Parts: sequence; C-alpha cells; structure tokens
Amino acid sequence: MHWYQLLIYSVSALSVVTAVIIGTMAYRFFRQK
Amino acid sequence: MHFWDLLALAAYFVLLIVIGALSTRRVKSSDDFAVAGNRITWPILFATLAASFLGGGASMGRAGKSFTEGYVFMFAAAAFPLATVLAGWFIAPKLKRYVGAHTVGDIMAHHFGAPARLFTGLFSLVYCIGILGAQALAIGTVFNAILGIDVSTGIVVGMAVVLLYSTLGGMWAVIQTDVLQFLMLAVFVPLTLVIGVSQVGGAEALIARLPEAHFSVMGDYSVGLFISIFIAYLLGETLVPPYTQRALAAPDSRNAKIGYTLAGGFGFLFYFISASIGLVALVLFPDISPDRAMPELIRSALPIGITGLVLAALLAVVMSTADSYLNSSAVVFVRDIYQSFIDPEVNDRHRLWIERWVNLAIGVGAIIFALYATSIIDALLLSYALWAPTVLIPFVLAVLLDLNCCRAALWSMLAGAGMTILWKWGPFEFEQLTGLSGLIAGVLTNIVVFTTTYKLFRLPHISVQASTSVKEG
Repeated sequence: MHWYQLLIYSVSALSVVTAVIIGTMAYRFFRQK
Repeated sequence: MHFWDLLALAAYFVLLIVIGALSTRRVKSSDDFAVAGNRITWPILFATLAASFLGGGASMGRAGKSFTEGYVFMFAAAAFPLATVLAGWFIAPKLKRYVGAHTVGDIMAHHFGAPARLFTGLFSLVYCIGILGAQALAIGTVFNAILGIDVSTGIVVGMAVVLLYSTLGGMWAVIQTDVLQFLMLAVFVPLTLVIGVSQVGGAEALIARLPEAHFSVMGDYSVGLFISIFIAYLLGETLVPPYTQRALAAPDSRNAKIGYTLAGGFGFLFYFISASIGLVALVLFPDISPDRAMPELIRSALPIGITGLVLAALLAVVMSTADSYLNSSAVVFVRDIYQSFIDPEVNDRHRLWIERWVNLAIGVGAIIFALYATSIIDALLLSYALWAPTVLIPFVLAVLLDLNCCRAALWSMLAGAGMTILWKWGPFEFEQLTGLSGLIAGVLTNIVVFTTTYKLFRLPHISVQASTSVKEG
C-alpha cells in the first residue's frame, strides 16, 4: 500500500477509535451523574 | 436532498433540543451554568474542548485553504494544536489553584486587581462575540451548500437551535451536546475523506492529479509568511475564554492536564483530515469556491442516507464551537462586568437568570453580526488579532510566575491593543512595510510594556490578593 494511502487510513481509523473510546467513557459519566 | 438525509438532520436537531431541555434540571446555580459544577472529568473535557476548537475554521476553512494552497496552511496552523498541548502540560493544571474561578477575568483579578478584570472582561467579550459571529456565518454556509437555502435563513435556523439548548441548559447542555458533536465529527468527517479518496482512485491518483507544491511543507509560502501564520495560530486562540473555562470546570489538575493535552493531540489528526478533504475536492470539483470544498464533497460524493448524517456532523463542528463561545460570552459578561462593577451583591438565583437572558441577547446580536461578515476565515482572523496582544501574555505570565502588578497588566493590555490597531488599520501600512503582522507587533509591545512596567511598579503580593474574591487552593 502507498504510504499516503496508509497515512490517510491510519489517521481516519485513529479518529474513529478515539470516538468509540470517548463515547463509551462519556456514556458511563453521564449515566452516573 | 433525499428524504432519509433530511430525516437524519431533523433527528439531530431534535436531539440537541431534547438534551438542552433535560439539562435544565441540572442547572440550579450559576456554578452549574458556567462550569457544570466543576465535575467534568478528562474524557468529557477532551471531547468538549476538541469539539469547541474544531469549528468552521478547522473544517471548512482548512479544507478551503488546502484546496487553493495545499497542505502548507495546515502545517502553519498546526501551531494551534501544539499550543493546546503546551497549555495542557504547563498552564491548565495550574488553573485549578484558583478555587471558585469561572473566567479568565477571575484569575486576572486575583493577580492584577479589579481594573484588570474589567479590561479582560471587555476583551473577552469582543473576542467571543467575534468568533461566535464567524461560526454563525459558517452554519449558514453549510445550510446553503447542502440544502440550497439562502445563508441568512441558515444562520437564523441553526443559531435558533443553539440558542435554545444553550440558554436552557447552560454549560451542562453545552458539554453534553459537545460530546455528541465530537463523536459525529470524529466518525463522519474521516469517513468522508476515505470515501472521497476512493472516488478519486486512491491516494496515488490524488498525488498524481495535483501540483507537487500542494504536498510540500512550505508550499508557495515564503519563510516570513509561514512564520507569521505559525505565530498567529500559536497565540491567537490559546487559552481564550471558553477553553480556559473548560479547564476550570475540571475537578482537579490531573483531569485538566490529560483532557487538554489529548484534545491538542486530536487537533493534529483533524487538521490533516480536513486539509486532505480539500485536496480531494480540488480533484473532483475544481471549479467551486474554496469555502465550499468540504460541503460540496459531502453533498455530491457520499451515498444517500450517509449525506444527512455527515451534514449533521459538519453542522456539529460549527454549532459546538458557537455554543461554547455563546456560553462564555454570557458568563464573562455576568461575572466580569455585571457582578463585579454593577451589582456585586447579586444573589446566585438572580445571576443565573441574568446569565440566561444575556446568553439569548448575545446570540441574537451574533446573528446580526454574521449577516454582515463575508468570509469565515477573514471574520475569524479579525477577532484573532485582539486576544493575544491584550490578555494572553499577562495571563500566562501571572499563572506561570505568580506575578502581581496592576499597572503592568493594564498598560501592557492597552499598549498591545493600541499597537495592533495602529499596525493593522492605521494610516501607515506597517504590515506591508515590515512584513510583521499586527498580532506579532501587538504581542511584542505587550511583552516589552509588561516587563518594563513590572520592574518599575511591582506591588507586594498581599495587596492584590485582598482585592479579589477568588482564592488560591
């Protein structure tokens, strides 16, 4: 795979994974409050 | 637009209003309205801060710039996420020392006394309303690009929703909608990029179809221009009222540090994604206006059903910034101006009532401002020019070095503002003559005046502490 394609996929995947983790933690936070 | 796209968009708006209505129950005091009762842990701080600083400039603005100039502007503007990481590491943890503080003005008053609070409050208000107006314009631009309705109607409709939930639920509504908006922008904006790149024919095809300069760090910029933009983004938006307010809303220094630093790190990712979308749009739609690069890609390149969600995500990007600046404007006005200089005896219930009405009034004012602005980036930069040369330097020095000198703060703020105005809008065209931007000239003036005055007139620490109600913990 071309390095630029890999960079675009990696950055996009990292963004989505961050959203999943933060979303899960935020759900627990607001459910407790 | 397809029916399902409109339905997704409508559902998103309804959800925002429901969150605002439900948050009303949590807002029982001014503390709840301004800093959500100081209970925001780092994941929430991270999401709300990232959603707040990733607005119209970081999305459509960044895509538009890479559309015309390539990645160079992204590299220069990456100074802002860098500044956020540094602020998270060095400044944000120290802000939790100021027990009971809601605003930058509270901290300035602690170090420099009541006059510094007044000036900080006024500069904060100008800055917040300027950025709010720019975001309101961005909301109208998104509506216009996707639905085809005129910009003015888009501004009024989008801002009405923001006004409704932020007035009802204050900071609690703002952080909850910010988290939702962060999740949408962190999922759907990268999705737009991945789909767009595949439509171009892959990354290699993208490189082959664009000028080489679009992929270089310096592009067609001179070193001076690059450094000038880098410094403008390093200082222009750093520790502005809504971001400082979020650090103050954390329960302790550790949460403030982690949330702030991670949000800065995420900024780098989002800048790359937005700028890359601009390049994809240039290949697919070379004849459009740069400001429309991102909305046009969403409207034209994405499949039915996804378009509505991604449009909602794009609106989320700008609405989450608008609600933060709106909330900050109201809190700054009530805390730094009304409570400090008009009615110091105001009780908490009345203060909350005033904060809600001021929130509404400033929102309506920003809509009027937005109707006269012509470009998202230009409007943002007009407001950028004032923050760093006035409040930022004395604020950072005070927090880092625990300095106390009322005259140094006041004179440096006034000198910085005066120099910036003279440099940018005076009769002598200093910017063209020297190559230095008004912001840099203002910041240098501020530093020189502050340090000189501080050495001449520094006051005993105890006399300043007596003049403010904010206590160090």
